[in-house]
Amino acid sequence: MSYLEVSAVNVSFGGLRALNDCNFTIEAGKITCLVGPNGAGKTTIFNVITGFLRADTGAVSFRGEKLAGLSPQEIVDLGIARSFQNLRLFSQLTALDNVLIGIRGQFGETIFGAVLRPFHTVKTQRAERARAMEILEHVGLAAKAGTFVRNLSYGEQKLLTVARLLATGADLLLLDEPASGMSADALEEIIALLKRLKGENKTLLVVEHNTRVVQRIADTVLFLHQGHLMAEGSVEEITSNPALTEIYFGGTI
Amino acid sequence: MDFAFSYIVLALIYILLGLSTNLLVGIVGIFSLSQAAVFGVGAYIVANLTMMSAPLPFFVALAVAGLACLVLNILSTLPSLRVSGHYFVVTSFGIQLLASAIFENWTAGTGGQNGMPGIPAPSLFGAELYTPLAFVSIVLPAVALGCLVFWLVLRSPFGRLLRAIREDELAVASVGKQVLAAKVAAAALAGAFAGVAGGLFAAFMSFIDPTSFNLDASVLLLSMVVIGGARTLLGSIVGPPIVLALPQIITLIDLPTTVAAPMRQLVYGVILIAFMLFRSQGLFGERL
Amino acid sequence: MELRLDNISAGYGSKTVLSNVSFTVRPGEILALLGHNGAGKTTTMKTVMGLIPARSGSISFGARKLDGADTAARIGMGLRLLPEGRGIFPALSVTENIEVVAAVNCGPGSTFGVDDLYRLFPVLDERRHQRAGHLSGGQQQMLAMGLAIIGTPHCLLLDEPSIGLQPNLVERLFDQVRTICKSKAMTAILVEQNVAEAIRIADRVVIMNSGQIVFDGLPDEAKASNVWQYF
Ligand SMILES: Nc1ncnc2c1ncn2[C@@H]1O[C@H](COP(=O)(O)OP(=O)(O)OP(=O)(O)O)[C@@H](O)[C@H]1O
Ligand SMILES: Nc1ncnc2c1ncn2[C@@H]1O[C@H](COP(=O)(O)OP(=O)(O)OP(=O)(O)O)[C@@H](O)[C@H]1O
Ligand SMILES: [Mg+2]
Ligand SMILES: [Mg+2]
Repeated sequence: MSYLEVSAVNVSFGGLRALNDCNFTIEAGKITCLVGPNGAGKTTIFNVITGFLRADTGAVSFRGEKLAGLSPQEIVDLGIARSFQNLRLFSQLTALDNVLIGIRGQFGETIFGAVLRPFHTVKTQRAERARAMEILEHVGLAAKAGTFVRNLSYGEQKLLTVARLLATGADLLLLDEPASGMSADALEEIIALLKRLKGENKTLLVVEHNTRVVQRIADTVLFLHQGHLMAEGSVEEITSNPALTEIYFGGTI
Repeated sequence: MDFAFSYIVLALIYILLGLSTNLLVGIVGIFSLSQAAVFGVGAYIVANLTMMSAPLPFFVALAVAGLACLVLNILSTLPSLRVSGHYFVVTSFGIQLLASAIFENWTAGTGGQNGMPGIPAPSLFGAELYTPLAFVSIVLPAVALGCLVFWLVLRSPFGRLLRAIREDELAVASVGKQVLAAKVAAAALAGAFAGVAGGLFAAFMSFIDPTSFNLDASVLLLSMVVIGGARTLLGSIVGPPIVLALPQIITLIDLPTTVAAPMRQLVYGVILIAFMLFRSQGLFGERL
Repeated sequence: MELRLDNISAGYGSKTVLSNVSFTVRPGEILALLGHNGAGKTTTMKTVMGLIPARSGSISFGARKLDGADTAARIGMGLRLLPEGRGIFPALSVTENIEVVAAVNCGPGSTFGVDDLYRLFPVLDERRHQRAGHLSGGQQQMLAMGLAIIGTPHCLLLDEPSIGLQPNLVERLFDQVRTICKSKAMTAILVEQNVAEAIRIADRVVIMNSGQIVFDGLPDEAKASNVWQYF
């Protein structure tokens, strides 16, 4: 039984085949990078796995359990969470509040807790805030905890999406381009963070166009092209494949 | 003196109603044009229950109104869980028209256009509360409780979740939070506030008719929230008294009687427009 | 035309982000503006476009001072910004996006028109009638880039154009930008985190740290210097 299995998934938008008999599996505790040209279907497969989009045909299973028909919330409950390519942060909340939204099972998040046991809510929030701060420190954003998202620079916002994702406590993390727009030092931090997460027994599926990042983090690379898995292998195998260089990498490697 | 206290009681009732609207429109972002209808249902329920041949005590009737409106508001905001954003404005406009039609034509339940006179004043510990001053003693605690609940919600994790939902429901779902449950809970609370406000209104006025619960009333309510300020307690407390007082303040401007009425209407309109142009976040609120 | 910043300071509210920023971009020159996340690169671009006011200093474009001009006036003078994030109209189709912008920016005799745009990004040609908001992330970035470059402005400000684009497309796009700059004497500022690609096409490199310029020189000098400590 594989950790995550995508089998024969098809998705069409009108006449456009975004995913075309897409098959792959992911191993637990590894970093798998999903690469491929613009429009290959990477974000679409994220949407299918996390319940935001229903596949026309095919199935996704996680630890042997079929995900078909589950809502995004139920999928997070099972332990899968994702970030968005276009960030989707809560721009009118502070960085800390964005992370807090990600923390699950908080007391006082229902109306009854909030109104009937306000003191208990305040008390438990102290601990939740401390946890959120810890996560912000983890990604190097502690200094910006009180800043509203709309006032953060782009790179800071990217880090914050990772922080919010971590707050969910999910085991399988799907990251859509975590490194784009990051300066070299932040990139080092992100790379170190992703490796650290792997050490903490998380499994990562990462979409990334930055080949140097892929080279440094990937245990396995999946190459998606026109909605279909075209190649799979180690970083060296993928990057040395002349066909893939032609359609994707160009002269960068 | 009585006039002043009448104004205070009415303002307090509208503060409670404003809290309800602020919760729904300001915090959750469900732009409802039908909150006056829910207010009306609360009022008619209390009127009917306290005027039956075997009348219920006022506070029991008030509780029934609160509960009924809680359920009603969930039902009437349910479409907003499916129809998003601006489309819900049209849906709630429809709900308001529907409610107005019922208020105006269901003579047995509402007295129709003629309204319902003779709603008894509530009694507290055997004493009937006829005067506005006496009435303050029951309205004030109710409104204070409403403010407390609103404040607790606002600063709790639940309130944070509602704010996040207003910005991006999909992102909230992506971290595994129940968007639907939170919206339903907020709608329920807003319904209970509006129902209780309606019940207090009926008992205080002793006469109610559909003009207090029509589309104009819903829009007036929205202007109270917007002028006071969305998403803050202070804004919700300040907005209704000002908007209620505005027509009175305008009467202080000395005008020839022939043009007075239309001129006042004009000044009122201009004030509202100016507010939105120069201070769209209201007096103490945040931008919608 | 030459774009010159003289001792520019700018910020948000009580916070000062840029202090005494000065540099010059000559006609036909690509200036790579590099630096750390939060260094103030986007703030610099916004200040040049008049999206936020300069608190002191002055900006000139050709013979003209930009100081009193609002954003619309600056666009009228031929400045154009590819904003951070995506500057597209998500509810419009791809062609509608392009037509709206081309109608304003493609006058008689202007270069790099609609056809050139579709040639540079063939996928946009295939998707003419797709809602822009339904394009993939990278496809949206292509469209945004196309809208910025169409009609060839006099001065093009690119805020991280490579984000979301597949590697070989970044190369092709940057080559195209360089070709236009050289053939039309277009001035360009390129803000990038893809430093290798940026330096490859840049004529000059300016490096910013905490709102101040810490390096201004040729690409080769930049490579040889110790400025990379700032990244
Ligand atoms: N809602 C939609 N309606 C129509 N077409 C869509 C929709 N969403 C995606 N597509 C198309 O499906 C294809 C796959 O899109 P997807 O977003 O999965 O690409 P991607 O691999 O993530 O690309 P990128 O690297 O550019 O982000 C693209 O051609 C895109 O235009
Ligand atoms: N609207 C704003 N209000 C307040 N502070 C802001 C605002 N926008 C940016 N900042 C702050 O100003 C500093 C510079 O931001 P800027 O966006 O210019 O950085 P940048 O160099 O473009 O970074 P990045 O590479 O991450 O995009 C950052 O510390 C940021 O937090
Ligand atoms: Mg994508
Ligand atoms: Mg920036």
